[in-house]
Amino acid sequence: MSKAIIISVVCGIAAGYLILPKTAIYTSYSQVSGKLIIVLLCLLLFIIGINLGRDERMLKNLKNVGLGILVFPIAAIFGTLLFTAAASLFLPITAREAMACGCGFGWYSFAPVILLEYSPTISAMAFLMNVIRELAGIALIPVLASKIGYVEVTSLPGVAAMDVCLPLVEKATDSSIVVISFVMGAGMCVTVPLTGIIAGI
Amino acid sequence: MNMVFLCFTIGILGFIVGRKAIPKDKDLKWIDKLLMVLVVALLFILGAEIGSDENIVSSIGSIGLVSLTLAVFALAGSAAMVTVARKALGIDKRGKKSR
Repeated sequence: MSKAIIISVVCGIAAGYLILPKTAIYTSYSQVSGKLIIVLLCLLLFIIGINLGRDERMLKNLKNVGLGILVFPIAAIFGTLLFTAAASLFLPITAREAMACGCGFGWYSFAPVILLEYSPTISAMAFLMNVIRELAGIALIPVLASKIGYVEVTSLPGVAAMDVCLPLVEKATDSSIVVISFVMGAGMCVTVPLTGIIAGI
Repeated sequence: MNMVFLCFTIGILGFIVGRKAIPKDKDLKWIDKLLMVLVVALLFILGAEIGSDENIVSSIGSIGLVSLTLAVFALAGSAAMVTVARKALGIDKRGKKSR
């Protein structure tokens, strides 16, 4: 998966930098690219919705644990936004821009796409930041699990905590943490679209 | 705002279709492949938009540094606030109630 990510972005950058602006189709492409992105994004969200709706086991587990578990994703979301806003004090971007990047929660194929409309530079920052957050977050789960806490490590990778990280979480922590990890990722997942509101689009 | 509304509507619609309209025993392996194709297409387009923007290409070093800083703060922030919540609920490091 991570190979495919790098290859597709690098090919895209190379095409955008070297080929696209020199071709005759570029003007017509840039007119439709915004709409094309929205169509692809909608398809992506629809399919993710289908996959979630089909996940019987997780839905059953969720019914058992109760609503109190939501305190963890809320804390992680608040922490991310607060700390990224604080980071903007040292960076050449505004607090809103920093929080909009942070609100991607590692979902690098979504938040940066929304932010393209706001500013391609902020979109590029959001992309890189969220790739780093997800990859570092995943790598840190087994390293930090017993040091900082089992619940804490599920908050590190962001949205990926709800799917690709589940086997890793189960191995590095305890099987009871898997549901928390799912709720953590799902809570962040539904918060990502707010990126647009934070950026003021 | 419209975009946010659209995202939620489509996601919830997909959830309902997955939950109610598709038989549970139906094999949907192609859907994961389609998901992969969509992610690759979106990232390619994102790359193309970034690559054709001269401002970004010329300042990629500083953009990388900003991104790295943001990522470190985001990781620290979420872990720190989860620790606060966990301690407030009286849960130990291993996720068990300690009192």
